[in-house]
Amino acid sequence: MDSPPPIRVVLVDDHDLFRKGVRQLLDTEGIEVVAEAADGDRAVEVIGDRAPDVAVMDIHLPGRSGIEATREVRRRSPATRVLVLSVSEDDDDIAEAIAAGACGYLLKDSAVEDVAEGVRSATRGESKLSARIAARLLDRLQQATSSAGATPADEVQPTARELEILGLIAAGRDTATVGGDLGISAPEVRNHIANVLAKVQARDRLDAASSR
Amino acid sequence: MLVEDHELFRTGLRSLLHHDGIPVVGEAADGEAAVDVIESHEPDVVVMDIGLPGRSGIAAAREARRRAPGSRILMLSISEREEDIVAALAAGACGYLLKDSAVEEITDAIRSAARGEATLSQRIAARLLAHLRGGQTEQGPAPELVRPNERELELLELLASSGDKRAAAERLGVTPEAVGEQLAEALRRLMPPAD
Repeated sequence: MDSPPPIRVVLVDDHDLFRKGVRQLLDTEGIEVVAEAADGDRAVEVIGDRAPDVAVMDIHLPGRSGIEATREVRRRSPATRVLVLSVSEDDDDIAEAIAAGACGYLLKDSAVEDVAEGVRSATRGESKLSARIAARLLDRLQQATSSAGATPADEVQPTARELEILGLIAAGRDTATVGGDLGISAPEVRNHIANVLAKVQARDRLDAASSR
Repeated sequence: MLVEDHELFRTGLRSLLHHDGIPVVGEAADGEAAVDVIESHEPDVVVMDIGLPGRSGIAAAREARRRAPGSRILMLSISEREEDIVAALAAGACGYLLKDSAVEEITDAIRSAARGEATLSQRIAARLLAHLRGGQTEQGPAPELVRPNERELELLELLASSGDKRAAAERLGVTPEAVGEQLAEALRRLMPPAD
């Protein structure tokens, strides 16, 4: 029986050493890095040329940032999903990455299995967040709900279940365990995360539009 | 041997080194464990991050040099801060490389370290030079700084401008290995242990 074709990835990070190491590791996970880039402009170019399934993107890059590049990639190559892989746990970076269309956000102290899972999830339209990133996002969503002002429309309001899942991920549970606890599959868990990100993204757009 | 708390980076580096024919005989993710593993495994070279949970890489380097003097320590860090560079070299590190180095620079540095040579990334050599020169006041060098001689200055200047041992070797009329040896001697003399 033929094995499925490997997932094609473009890796974007300004550290050659880090990129090459991750490339080797992804190779052992059956994920093919078809090209690399060390800055935002090159990233957009290379991704446009090679049309990978997923771009694994650092945020802090020389020249154009990874967030700018993400936005541009999502515009020009919408079939390519973007997974952020960064050291940053900064609230603004997280918010901007989601607003720019990242489908996942992992920290660089993740295990290689997590990065592989993040890449695979991305190809299925699911999302993966590192625990500390989920925690930051949850904080922000909870603050937004409790602060004064108009409540956001239902479609952009995460459901109680979605917040619960986010909370379990934030507590450090992996998606399989969370799924087990809630009686759903791991992909469904990641689907819920994807929904949360989509809502946050939509809400950002609404905020941006209404503040003009 | 690798000491680094970011698993992704560490396992990636291990993979790269294996691929390049450099076996990784041990790993650690914090300073305490590092010293124990170094003592028990006696690696030829330890590639050590500075920012580690618990005991810092610099403190671990100092302790490791004491307990396993045959193991050379190569710092690999994102930090270009003068105090980190000075502390690492004073702790007995035989080299200091930045994480944005190319893979070849790292593998070359590991092989040189095993031969007793020293390596500095270009920007690190520049910082070290500035540090050694910075001690010059009107009254002469700051008392705690050892004054570099002409040869040492020339060596550091060449490394600070090109970052390349081969280029420095050509200018000095020696082999790249000799550059590494001279750098090792220079560092030992200029950066004595700060007890």
